[in-house]
Amino acid sequence: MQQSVPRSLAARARRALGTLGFGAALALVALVMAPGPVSAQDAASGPRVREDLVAKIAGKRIHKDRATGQVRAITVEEARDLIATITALTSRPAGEPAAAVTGGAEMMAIGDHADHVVISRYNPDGSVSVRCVASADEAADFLAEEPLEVM
Amino acid sequence: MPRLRAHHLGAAVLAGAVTLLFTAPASAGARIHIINNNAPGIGFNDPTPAAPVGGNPGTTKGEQRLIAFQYAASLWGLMLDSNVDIYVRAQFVPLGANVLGSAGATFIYRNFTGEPGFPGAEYPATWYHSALADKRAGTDMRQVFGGPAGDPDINANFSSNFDFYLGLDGNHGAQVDLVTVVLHELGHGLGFANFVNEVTGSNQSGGTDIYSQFTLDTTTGTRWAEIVPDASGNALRAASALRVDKIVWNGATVTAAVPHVLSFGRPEINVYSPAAIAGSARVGTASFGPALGSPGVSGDVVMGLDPADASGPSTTDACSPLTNAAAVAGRIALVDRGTCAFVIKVKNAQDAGAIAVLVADNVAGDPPAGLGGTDPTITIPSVRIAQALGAAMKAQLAAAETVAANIGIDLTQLAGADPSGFAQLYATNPVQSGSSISHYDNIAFRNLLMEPAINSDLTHELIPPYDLSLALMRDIGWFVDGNLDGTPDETFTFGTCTTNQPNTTLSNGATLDDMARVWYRDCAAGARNHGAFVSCVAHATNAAVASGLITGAQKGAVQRCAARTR
Repeated sequence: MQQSVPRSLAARARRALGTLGFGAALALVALVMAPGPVSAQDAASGPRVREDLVAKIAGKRIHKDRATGQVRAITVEEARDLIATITALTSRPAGEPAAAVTGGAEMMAIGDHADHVVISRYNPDGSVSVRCVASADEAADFLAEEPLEVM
Repeated sequence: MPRLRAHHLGAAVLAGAVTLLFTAPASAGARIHIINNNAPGIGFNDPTPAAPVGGNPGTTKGEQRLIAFQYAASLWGLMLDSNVDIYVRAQFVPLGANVLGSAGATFIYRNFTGEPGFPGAEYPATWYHSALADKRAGTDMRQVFGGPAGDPDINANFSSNFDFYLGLDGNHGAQVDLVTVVLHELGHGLGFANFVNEVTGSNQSGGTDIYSQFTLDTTTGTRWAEIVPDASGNALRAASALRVDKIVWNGATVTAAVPHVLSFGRPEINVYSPAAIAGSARVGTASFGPALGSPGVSGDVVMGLDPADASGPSTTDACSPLTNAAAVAGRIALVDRGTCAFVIKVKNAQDAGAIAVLVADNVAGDPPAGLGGTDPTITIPSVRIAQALGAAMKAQLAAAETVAANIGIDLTQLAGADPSGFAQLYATNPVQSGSSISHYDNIAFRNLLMEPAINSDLTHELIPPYDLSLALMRDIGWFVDGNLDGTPDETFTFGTCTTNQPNTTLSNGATLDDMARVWYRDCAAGARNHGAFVSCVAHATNAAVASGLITGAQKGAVQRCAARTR
């Protein structure tokens, strides 16, 4: 069931993610190291972080600080990390994957990149809103609207 | 309780350990295996001590994560029948800030036939999610294509640096309930998603999918699967995805369950005059002030005017006390979104004597989102309206027309269903590719598991009258098959005991089979021994008879099966 992942593959992904946040890098490396149909080419190319989306959410008070438990503004680096992660999780490999055919049936590997990602947004009153999104754009829209009451 | 196993996998090598975490009498359902894809010491294997919480007996953070994850999987597995095991490869890893988790199907299949006795694909040239294809084929399609046994049907990643509530009882307080989030994400992987790019309208590899077979555009009367799979069809699908309130699920099971789950009372604005803009439109409701009611609040609409100052640069943003209180008093104030809190705008209008407030969106888009915030001193209703409607009202007011409107709820229409009673799917303009359509509409009330917003008031139940998730799974082909023979059951099953009672739909919208599985689950989980299990079932079914939910004959069938269960 499980297959070994060549060290070089993970290393390539890490190199490709060199400019990304640590969390995003770990996330994508984890995806790459997971067994399954994800292609090396796709993983190694890494996600492209949209700086316009980063700018859209950076500075918003939507993040709960693990150390203090307080809601605070999300930093630029955290915003970049967030967008990178969601992009990696929702981006499908470029081009049409090939369908295998057996006895008239067809199979397609649609990749380890998930379609749907759940994100959270902390509100000024300490409550948390949770949303299922399918793209970095959608995530940024949801997160940038916070705090709802000041927009 | 469904049969459930946990696999531990290292990051690169299968450890091979198989642990039975939940032991219960065998029952109908599907085996869902959680493949623990974490390396030792992290994620599911995090050794950090943890006190048992909310019925989760794990003693480390890793154990609790795995138990909660498996519990969520078991809730699905209890209700979905398959003779092919379902594999979910899961891991807790550091994800980006504010990212909680993700999931999706790994393989899709079409044009497959079934093993003897199994139906295969119901629709030709239609992609099916892996686990559903396996169920209908009666065999592991991955192995048919030469893959290894146990290859994942669903891949899931969750955040190891987010503080989830790990209890199983739903008492999550202000925390985010991991069980609910996993239920939602597994729902997508099991079939609650199309494979359409809603921005371009293109299908996966030019072919439709099982979800699109039930996605109906009520403006054209066309199901998405019927739209031709070429460039012209893609344009039609892309245009369709933008039709707010018009994209519905037309599967029979969901449609039958809708009246039992959703409540009457669609929030809306009705513009009575002038005729040029008369009509009703959807509104975003406020989290503060009184809830919208029926007959609602009616009145003439006036612009709320305030100084353009440091509080707000516009004379219509209501960020400062209004300057036209005499005009606003006793009327509905129209103000613009932007710069300051919604509660400030509404409070300023209230202080000027407004009876209600319309906040016109400052960006294009439909449907309008809600109004967030908290202010217990606000006593008038307020809503957000679309930018386009706000502009139309302003134009009429500028032309010295009288604009009259009502805001309230339409008690003739279910919140989350269209006038024909079909459950609405989430459609927005602009589109949210992947999220649009592959969720129920967020106007639904009660709140549903498969809305894009995962609300804090959700239960863990997947059946009516609590939810419409299982009903959609039934529509796409997860038919009831308690004896796993590949043929849809005419009668209902309790555990592995097949009754002679038809599987009818009950007055609460659930089927008898649904309820039997819930009774089985609840009684198996809490029983110390067989006697206690039988007693629990008797108590539950006696209560169901007393409430008129089931008949005496149906009760007898359940209780006889319970007595035979070992």
